[in-house]
Amino acid sequence: MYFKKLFFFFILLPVLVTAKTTSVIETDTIMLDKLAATVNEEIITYSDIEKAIRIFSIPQAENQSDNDFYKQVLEDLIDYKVVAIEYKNDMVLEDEDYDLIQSSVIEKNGSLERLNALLRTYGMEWTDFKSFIREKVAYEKVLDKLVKIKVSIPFSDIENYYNTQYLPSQENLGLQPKSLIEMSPEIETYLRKEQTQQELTGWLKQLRSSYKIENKLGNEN
Amino acid sequence: MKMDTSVLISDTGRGINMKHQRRLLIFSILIFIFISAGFFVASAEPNFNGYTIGNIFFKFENKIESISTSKYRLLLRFKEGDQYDYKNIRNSMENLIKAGTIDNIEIRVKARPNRELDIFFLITEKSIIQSIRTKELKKIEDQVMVSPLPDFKKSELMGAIYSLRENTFFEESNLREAIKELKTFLNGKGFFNPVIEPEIKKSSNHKYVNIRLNIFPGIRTKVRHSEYIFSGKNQTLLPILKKILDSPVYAPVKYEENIGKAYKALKKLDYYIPEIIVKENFFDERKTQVDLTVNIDLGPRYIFKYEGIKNKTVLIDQIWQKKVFEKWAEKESESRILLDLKNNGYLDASVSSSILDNKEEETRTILFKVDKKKKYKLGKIFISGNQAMQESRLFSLIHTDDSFYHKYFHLRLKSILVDREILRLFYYFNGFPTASISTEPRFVNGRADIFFNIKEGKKYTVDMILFEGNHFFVRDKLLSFMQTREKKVFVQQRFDEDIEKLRINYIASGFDNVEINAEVTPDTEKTILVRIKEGKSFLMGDLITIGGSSQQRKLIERLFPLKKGEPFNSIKVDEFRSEIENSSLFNEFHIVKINRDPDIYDLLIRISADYSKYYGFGIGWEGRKNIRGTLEYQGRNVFGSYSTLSGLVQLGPKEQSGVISYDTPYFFKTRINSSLKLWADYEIYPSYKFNRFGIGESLIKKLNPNSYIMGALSWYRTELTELEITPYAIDQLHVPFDTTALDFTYVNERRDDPFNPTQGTFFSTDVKIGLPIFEKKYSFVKATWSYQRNFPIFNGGVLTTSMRTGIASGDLSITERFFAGGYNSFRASRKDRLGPIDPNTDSPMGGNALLLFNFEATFPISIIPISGFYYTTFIDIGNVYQKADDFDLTNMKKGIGLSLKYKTRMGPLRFDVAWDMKTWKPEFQIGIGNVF
Repeated sequence: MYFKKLFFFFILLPVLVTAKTTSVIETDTIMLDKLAATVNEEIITYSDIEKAIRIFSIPQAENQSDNDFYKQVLEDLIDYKVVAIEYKNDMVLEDEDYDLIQSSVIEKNGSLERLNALLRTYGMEWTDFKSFIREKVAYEKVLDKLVKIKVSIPFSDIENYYNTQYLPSQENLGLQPKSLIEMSPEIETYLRKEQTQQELTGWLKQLRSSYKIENKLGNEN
Repeated sequence: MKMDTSVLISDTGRGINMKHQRRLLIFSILIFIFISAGFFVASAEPNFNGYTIGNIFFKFENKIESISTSKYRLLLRFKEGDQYDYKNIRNSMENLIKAGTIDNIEIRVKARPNRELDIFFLITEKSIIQSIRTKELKKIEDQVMVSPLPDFKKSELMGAIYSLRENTFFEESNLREAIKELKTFLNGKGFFNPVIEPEIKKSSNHKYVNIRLNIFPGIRTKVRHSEYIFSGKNQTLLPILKKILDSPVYAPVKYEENIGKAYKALKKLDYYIPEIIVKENFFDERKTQVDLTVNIDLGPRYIFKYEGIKNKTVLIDQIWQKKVFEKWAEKESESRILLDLKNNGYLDASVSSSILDNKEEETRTILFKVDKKKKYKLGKIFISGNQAMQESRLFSLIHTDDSFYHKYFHLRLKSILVDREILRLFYYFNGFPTASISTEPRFVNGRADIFFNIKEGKKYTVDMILFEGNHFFVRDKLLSFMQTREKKVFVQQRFDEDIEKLRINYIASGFDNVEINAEVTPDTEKTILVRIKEGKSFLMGDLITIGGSSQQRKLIERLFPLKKGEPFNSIKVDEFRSEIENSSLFNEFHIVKINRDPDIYDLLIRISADYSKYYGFGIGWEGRKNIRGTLEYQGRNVFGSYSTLSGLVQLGPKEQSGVISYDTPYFFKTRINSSLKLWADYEIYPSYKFNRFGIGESLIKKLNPNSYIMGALSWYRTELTELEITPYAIDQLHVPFDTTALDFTYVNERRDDPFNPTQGTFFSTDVKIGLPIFEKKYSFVKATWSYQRNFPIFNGGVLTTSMRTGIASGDLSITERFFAGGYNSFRASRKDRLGPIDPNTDSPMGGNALLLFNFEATFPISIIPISGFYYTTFIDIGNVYQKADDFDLTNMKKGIGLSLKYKTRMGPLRFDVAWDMKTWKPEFQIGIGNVF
């Protein structure tokens, strides 16, 4: 009797599960794609988000929910699209502009063969891949030209950071601090990165405000 | 003994075969794994390569449409039977979003065993905004509104919102923008922390939304302390400025207005370039209190003095209101004063200036010394230096000597400068671009002889025109588009126009991205090379209209200038877009190009109709009709059409009228305004009163920005309720009669302002034919025309002349005859009393002919300090004749008079006094608007 019950349980269990699923899908359809956002009249779909996660190997943070992760990736894709539209006429993308991003993608995927295999699962060819990364390439190029160049770090800022942040932290850790001259390059790099991020955030916010952005993912709950 | 575990004894005593049970269990686990695996496999990335598209469906909120019936079908990049390609599906999604009516799209597929894929587009359409309301909250959570309370009206709040409008599609991004706009408005009013909570209510079918914006303005920013840093010795001004600027609350918009008032006040005291800069220092994040630091720099005080002429500050005022180099401003002022003098005949006047600086009083006095010398009339005109052009031809271009004024009053420099420029342009357009012309006056006996000295320079001609890159048009065809010709003169402006014409012709042939550049050699015999990059040519594909009613969509399709398969002419599309936008038929009108095929442009037109309704009421006074109230209604795009339904009712103690009209801006496919009217009125005239009702249809066609023609057919029934003259023919008391009339009117309006004209002309003519359709014995023909001309004269005055004529044949009813007399025709007589008078009743009879001339000279009254007051001297000459045969130019009455006017936007408010030049009896009239 006991085994009969087990038998029927294991037979019925998947049936129950699939039966529930069938009622949601209604007519046995599966979702092919769905709108995630629009930027003016251009679209970003769920499929774009999934491709971006896999092709760019974007890591999901610990304790980050899937929904939040998708939203974060979507915001990045919106940034790329806004910049690409804004600077469409002012910029020509050369092969060398693609090289850096391509290399990074290949490295993160392990090898070119693995990347190609991944692309094939999406029905993409190499030309499709280049089209897909075009907006990111444009974004990085614009950043290099506009935002990063604007940032300059005066020596007084480096010195100030050295005196107010570095020295006290070294003291707290009981470590022997290095000299200002020795630490300058590192501090400068750090401050440049911070300031670039600030400039970037402000610049992107202003740029996005002039575009009509509808985030459909934000309404999904 | 080893127990046989293959068998167990159950509670019932029967044996259970353990081996069999275990096999069953393993089997069921395997099935479970198999099914589950299948489930997970099914949820991996779908790959439908090799599939064919089966059925395509659009699923909306409440219905499913198949592709054959859906309005969105033309936006898809694939059709049933095509090979599956994800790119086509994605492009279709893009096209659907471009339609602008779709909020969200989900694509679901169902794979069929025969490797066909059914595609389902699950579409959420955008809702239309039905209403937008604002509601001010006095309290929100733990915050309560405290004084000072908001002083703005609801209409101001609504006026601050631009991104959301009724009868347009609802989008979240527009709602966010609208909230930002409201916040900006409230910040400007001193509310820096408003809370705005939108409330969106969808209709049951989700087609409409009603939006309510709940606004809690918050705490208004108070000014804790204002510190004034005043840089100027004249400390007496500080209290005046403080009075203008001080305020207990800080509203940036109001503060800016106050700064403007302060600037105006300082300007009156001769401070032309003051600077007032305000710095805010908020105490808290919520900005509830602020300290203001107001830096006031008065700048120099400019005093203008004149020797030799009266005050001319009005000419140079604006120069000194900008921060410019003083020396430049001084010289520019000298030039303007000199030009003004020369335009008033003082051709050899001289002006010098000096600036005196008084550091003590912080003033700068600019003294203009003028030696006007004499006023000159025009003498003779001489031309020298011309070789290529005939002197007689050049003289024909000069018009200074045509003017009576220049010969008998004084010569105006402006006229000479205009003639000089005309001569220069004449040379330019005849191939002499470097021709220069100077003028020199020589003064003889109170007259100025003017010498035009011409340096012709080199003549430029075209040697050869070459084309490169043209494949679609052959060389001869391209040359036929151009005015520039080989072996003829070269004119740069004309050549630039030719390049533009070439571009337009290429675009008209579908070459939307053509690039045309030209290289021209620098020598006098020019070789021109025109480089053409034709690009691709496109054909017009499908026209897809979305939104609006079916009538409105059909109108768009009828008016659209291109047919499917024709070359895609983007210029015609742009013209079409401008025309529809200017017609104000729609709230939204967007055209989007969709490139479905490589050589074809489909156009998606999205419309959103304006269904606004307007209600109005007013009270007014008109000279003849006396006081009356007006009620008005207008509904746009009624019944899903593109027509306007309006109603107007006017009620007064003397007269009443009502009109219902149905106006359509397009008659068949043309831009002809059609108006169907139903009306009824009761009107009163000095010698008759009548009731009338009727129906009529009129068509108005605009010929150009200045003129239109109108044709109308109407039928109306008239009943005379009072008749002060002897009844005759159709004019019988209480005997209604019908008039069927065909009317043709032409109007040409070229006045600068139809209500307060200072220059320009007005011409109108009307022919009315009374047809003997319902009243067999009643027919007539009536023609009228009127012409008016205005031109500015000295001292800011305007001279106006007007002529009105009318002539008719047939036994016209008194209601159709010509009348004149009164404040809007012949001011020396009472209403309608110019012309024949019934000897029995002493009432005006009107006539079949009218001739009227009016001459007015209007000047501003400068002694009254308020602007807008004018006085007019006028002469009215004319008569009304009983029959057309009685027309007699020697039998005309004359009247002269004076008028006092106050200019309003709707025309001047007038008080006239006029005298008949025979009887010299004064007549007083009050009216609004011009006489003609």
